[in-house]
Amino acid sequence: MPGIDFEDTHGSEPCMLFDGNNDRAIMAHYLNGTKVFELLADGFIYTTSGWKYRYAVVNVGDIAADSTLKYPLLRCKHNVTITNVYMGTDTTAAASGTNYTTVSIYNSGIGTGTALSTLTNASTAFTLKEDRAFASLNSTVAALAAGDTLYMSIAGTGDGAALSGVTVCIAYTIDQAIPACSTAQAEDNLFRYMAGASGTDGLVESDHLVKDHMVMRRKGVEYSRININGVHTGIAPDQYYYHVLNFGDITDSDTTKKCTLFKPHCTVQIEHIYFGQSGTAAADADTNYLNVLIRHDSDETLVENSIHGPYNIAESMTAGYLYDMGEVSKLYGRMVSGETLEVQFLTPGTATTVTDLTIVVCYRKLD
Amino acid sequence: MAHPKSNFNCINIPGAGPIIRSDQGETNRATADVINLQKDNSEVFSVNYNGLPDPGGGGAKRQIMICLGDIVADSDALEYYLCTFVVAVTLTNIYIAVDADTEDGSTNKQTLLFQTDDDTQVASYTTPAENPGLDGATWTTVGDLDSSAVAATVSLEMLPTKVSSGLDLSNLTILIEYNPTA
Repeated sequence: MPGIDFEDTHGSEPCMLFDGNNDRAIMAHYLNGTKVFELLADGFIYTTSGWKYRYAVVNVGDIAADSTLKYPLLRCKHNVTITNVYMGTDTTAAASGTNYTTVSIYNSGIGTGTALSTLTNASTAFTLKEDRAFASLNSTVAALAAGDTLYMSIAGTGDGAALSGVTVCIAYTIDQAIPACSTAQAEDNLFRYMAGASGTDGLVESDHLVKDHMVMRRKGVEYSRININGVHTGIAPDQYYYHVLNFGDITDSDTTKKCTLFKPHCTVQIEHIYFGQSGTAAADADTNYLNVLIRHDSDETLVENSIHGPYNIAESMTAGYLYDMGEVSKLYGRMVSGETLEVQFLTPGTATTVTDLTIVVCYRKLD
Repeated sequence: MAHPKSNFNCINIPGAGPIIRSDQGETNRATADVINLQKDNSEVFSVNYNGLPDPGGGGAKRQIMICLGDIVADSDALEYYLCTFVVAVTLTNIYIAVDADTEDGSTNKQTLLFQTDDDTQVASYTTPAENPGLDGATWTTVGDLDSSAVAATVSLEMLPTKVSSGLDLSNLTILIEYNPTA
């Protein structure tokens, strides 16, 4: 028997309503004495399972032996923690104690004083298609605050070493400060079900034909909902997902390209688009700049912005940093499965080359 | 504020800890779900004993996108690292796209082999005998996956091989879909 069971109950309101004026969690689950799951007041899911890991994979392409570029890797709307970083190449770069390259990862909120971690081929080769893990991540740098950028910097020793087809894989978790009351007061519960009861049914069950299962409000404002189809939506930090793509150098001749940016597998709302590049860019041209457009495959524009100009309109860019492109159209930002998102380019003059144009798509799932 | 039609109204319940707490695993119910929500007797949302959610709709599926840049016609010497999964996952699909039409693919093609780091083939895709071989800005599935389970800390790789003279692929982008399973 379930501990709490609702079967085809009457009414049209969500079956379970949680509406608190404090931060107490809705439900916590302990397995053999260790908390492995908690549903927080705003619908955020805390879990020790693999569910918590997200990935951003950025192919930064070929890196010259004497490169001084800084490659943007990740920016998020909320605080996240970097848990693992791996790197691989498409061609072997042999180990050399004389001429080698050091790859360092930095957090723009911390600065270049301390790296998250570094990798070199001073004593260990970068072998084609094999990943190497950045070890012993610095916990302070690993805490990437909302709006800050994780980026990669290169330094050569001796003649340095060219790296070909570099791909960086970042695993991270979305941070949510678990309300102090729910951790410090783990035993102050309305219901507590102790181990010992027999059965295989779910502890909390709800079975209906029409009405939603659960709604989570705080002071009357809805933050999260699990609908009749089991779709969990809301505005908690873990409802936001990210993709990062590096499109390489964009030149004046690329205005005919349509770079594929995103293909959602369900209905989504595009919330933010961030962009940046591996070099610096001053907003100092009124004609020779690049206009970057984020568009549907049906050519509606979600948001646009410019690099290298125009004066007093575009934003100057620091190498390796990611910038918000501006408000995304709510109408065109809603995409259904089957639609695709593209990056297109325009220039009123002769565009200055943008190095390693990097774009982050931030979205929420809606169904 | 009254919500008389909800069956389980927890509004400003005094206290500070989780409203519901379960302790499980020591004796009985070791592998029972914590939450199990159903629509007409079919499960649509669950959280298992390990705390792994399985929501309905598109909630369970995750995506990874990688833009590999330009793949020249003869890239046989290159072998690409794609990503590493920290925990076990199940791959559900892989798509590819390019940002411009390729040349005529009637004779010259490109084969893309996706595999795990122990050389287990995940999928092998050859561009079709069409002109162009691939349309720009069009997502194409690589087809049914030959192997879908990927264990923790295992990485994915992609090896291109030319057919005849091969085919240039401009800004090849790969989309990997998977479900967390542990």
